[in-house]
Amino acid sequence: MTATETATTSRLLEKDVRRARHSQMPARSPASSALAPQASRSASSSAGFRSDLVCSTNWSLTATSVGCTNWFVMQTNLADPAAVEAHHRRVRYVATYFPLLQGLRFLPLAVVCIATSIWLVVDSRIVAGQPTPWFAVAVNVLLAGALVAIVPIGVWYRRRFGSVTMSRQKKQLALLFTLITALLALLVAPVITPSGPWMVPVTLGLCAVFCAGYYWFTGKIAPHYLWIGGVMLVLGVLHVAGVSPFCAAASALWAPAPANCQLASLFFYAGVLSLVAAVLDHRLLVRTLPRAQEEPG
Amino acid sequence: MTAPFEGLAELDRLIHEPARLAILTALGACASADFLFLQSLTGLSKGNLSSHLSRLEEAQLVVIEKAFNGKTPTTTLRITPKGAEAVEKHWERLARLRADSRKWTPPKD
Repeated sequence: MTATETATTSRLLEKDVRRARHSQMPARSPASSALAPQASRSASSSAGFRSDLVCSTNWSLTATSVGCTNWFVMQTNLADPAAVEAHHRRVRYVATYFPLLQGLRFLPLAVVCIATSIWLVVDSRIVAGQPTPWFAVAVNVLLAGALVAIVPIGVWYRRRFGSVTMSRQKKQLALLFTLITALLALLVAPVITPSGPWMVPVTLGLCAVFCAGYYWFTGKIAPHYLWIGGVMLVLGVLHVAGVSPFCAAASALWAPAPANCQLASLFFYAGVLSLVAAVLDHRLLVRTLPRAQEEPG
Repeated sequence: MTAPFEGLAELDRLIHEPARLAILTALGACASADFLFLQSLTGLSKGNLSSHLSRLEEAQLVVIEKAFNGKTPTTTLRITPKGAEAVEKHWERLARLRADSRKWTPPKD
């Protein structure tokens, strides 16, 4: 842009502001003006005065803070700068971690975990300590089914939202993160015995660290991971203190064996919290990626 | 003339348009994305999105690759180094402009 063009454009912009100073603009909801109109605006967006983008009830340049915000809003098409910035942060996040945000893929695994936990405390033979060969087979079949179900759910995501290839840098970061977590798991594995008192708190503690790390490394956009990590930590501390919410509820209903109860607790917490994470990831994806417009005619 | 006005005049309208800014921001965050993803992201119709992408391609900000996956045509998009730099600078400029507009006092008649 040449100096003459810059000066001309600047003169026009100043004229717009002067014109706006003497007019009263209609009220407009910040939420509706912040994000939704972005696409619809695009067709008619042009340099110049856009009264429909004003989001404040009071258009007055004498009140400097309000006036200047509105002036910025009008001239930059950013109806609510903070909201638009937040929207673009979400866009960046979704584009960066799209394959990881397809939460419904993990839903069958979460359901299998919950089903296994309930089976462990309900089945009278398991409770009585009798051999149950079909239990392991059934769990493995369910697990295989859940893993197979990932494929059609992935196809559905690709058809509904399209596909994105993660950048090499992020792939390497994800790999590094997984390796560190696996190393941590290997280091604490000797401490954990299936019937020992430390199995549930140590595993939950590790998962909490994983959730907090995931939240931190992915740009702090998905706060539900922090909440889920927090819940895991609280549950872990409760188990250390000898309080198991799941075992307490199960004991009241089915009177399971204490050893099975510990294992069932772990499956139950893992299942429920994975389910919550999966649904919230999917919700984040759906909220960031609206449905495309239909072609006219 | 005050600083925010000069900053506004320097804004690149090609990048600043909301849908194109969203497209470039998304492409800058991944290796590549397909047409459907960008359509979901912007909420635009196919025709509108095609038009925006053509303009970005003309300006050499993105690369459009068309291929066939079996019998299904697929369009994959990547941001060019020039595009990545341009969108990064644009966000910086917007942040600076926003900060300047807060400090700005309107001139008296």
